[in-house]
Amino acid sequence: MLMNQRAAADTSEVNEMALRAARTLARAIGDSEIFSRFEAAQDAFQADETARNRLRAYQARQQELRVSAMWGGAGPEEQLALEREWQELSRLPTLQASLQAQEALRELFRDVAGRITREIGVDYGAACSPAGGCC
Amino acid sequence: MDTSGNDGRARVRQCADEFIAALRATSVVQRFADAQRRFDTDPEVQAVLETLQRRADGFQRAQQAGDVRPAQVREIRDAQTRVQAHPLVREFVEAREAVGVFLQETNLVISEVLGVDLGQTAGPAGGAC
Repeated sequence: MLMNQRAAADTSEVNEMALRAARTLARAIGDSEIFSRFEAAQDAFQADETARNRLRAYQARQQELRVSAMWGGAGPEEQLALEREWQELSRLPTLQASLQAQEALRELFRDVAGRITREIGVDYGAACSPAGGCC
Repeated sequence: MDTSGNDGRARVRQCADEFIAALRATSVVQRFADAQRRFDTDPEVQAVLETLQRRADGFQRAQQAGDVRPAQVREIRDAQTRVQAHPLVREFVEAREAVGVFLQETNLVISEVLGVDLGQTAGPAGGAC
């Protein structure tokens, strides 16, 4: 009984240490240049109302097409128009910078998650994504 | 801000390694490591896995040749049941799930600090994204 209690206390202490190490890791990521750039790029994009509105319109259109594709209604020319709109959109400086900063951060995250996956033997990304929700 | 003179990557890696070491000390990760070692080395588990693999291969060949026997489907299901019901396989699966739950907890901590989801952004290894 006493042994079990002690084991339980040890377990929670060791788990607490792992959670503390996770917090330290998060702060190190937060302090990295990649993360500062990501935040700055996000802020700049949020401040760019034109780019934000165009992206929102694009996403609404994309959603519409996705729904109508399920009913077999979306034509290839509509799909093409959407792709062209994306090509134009992705040339907007604030959006482009934001996408690049996101990709750099994603790469840093993949590096960290990949280390954990290799060392622990359980896929960190898969364990932490909602089912099938990586995209 | 980063004060070590570089872009902070080295510090991130160091903290990741410390996090991994802390994870290894937890009972969930140790249980999983034990379960995995037994899973990988137990002759009985390896035998039921091989049987399943052999029957699945045989089924695939028969399918390609358009010559599947009805009994083959039942044989594969039997082999699958034998794999899934093996205590060491069940322990392995349960232990892996427990690690997943704990990793989610750590991911929540990281997401709270950063305001960005590390696990979801990283995606599953070898994922299509």
